[in-house]
Amino acid sequence: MNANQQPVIDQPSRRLPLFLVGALFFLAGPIGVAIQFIVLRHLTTPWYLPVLSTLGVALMAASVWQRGGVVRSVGLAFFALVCGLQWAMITFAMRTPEYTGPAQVNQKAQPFRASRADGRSFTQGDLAAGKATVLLFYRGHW
Amino acid sequence: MLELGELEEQHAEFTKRNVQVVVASNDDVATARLTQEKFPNLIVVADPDLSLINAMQVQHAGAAPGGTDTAAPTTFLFDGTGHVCWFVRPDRITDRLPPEQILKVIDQTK
Repeated sequence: MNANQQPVIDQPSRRLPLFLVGALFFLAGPIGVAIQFIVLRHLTTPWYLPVLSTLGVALMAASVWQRGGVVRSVGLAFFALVCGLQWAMITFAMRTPEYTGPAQVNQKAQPFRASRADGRSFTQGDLAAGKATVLLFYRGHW
Repeated sequence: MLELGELEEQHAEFTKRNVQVVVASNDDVATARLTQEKFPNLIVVADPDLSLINAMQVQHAGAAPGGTDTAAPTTFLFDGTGHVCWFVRPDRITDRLPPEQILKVIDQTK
């Protein structure tokens, strides 16, 4: 061997760890949801959740396409399934039914009788007692 | 019940506008009492028999855990004579109109 010749050493390929980056995108969604609802207490649909998951799955798919591997393929299938469930939840399961009820603008509420927390009754008369009322229905204590 | 906390925080603004805030669900009276303790400036209404929920037709069939019925998140504004001035139902159960928006609607309808 010539003294000036350098031995040829195989350098490990320096590719972006696409699967890992994809998984981080995937995790960013739930973390964002936790921050939104627990810290910021902001009540809007977190559309970014399935969007980030989709980006994550796309990166994972690119990783599988480049490097293959059973573990990556199984991981991709799992994350793709979860991503699909997230889209289904937000697109369909979280939808509220369209309001087709009798309460329309300039009309009165139909008769009803419910209870205040202190046990006193609450009826349609309480909505017509001279004071404007915001009546908000919430989903109760689960 | 994040929305109740937000409404409670803004209760002074509603009071300033002479508006009472009533929050209703299909909870029983005992549960409503606990909710009332957390949100003392709201009027918490228990409607386990779905009388109010059916009158306003805001039931959301099978939407509670276990497949039971609950109330779809809907907000109505009544004038002092019991007439509906305005109402809104978000597209999704995770969406709510912020109290600031409700206050804006109140100001616009006066």
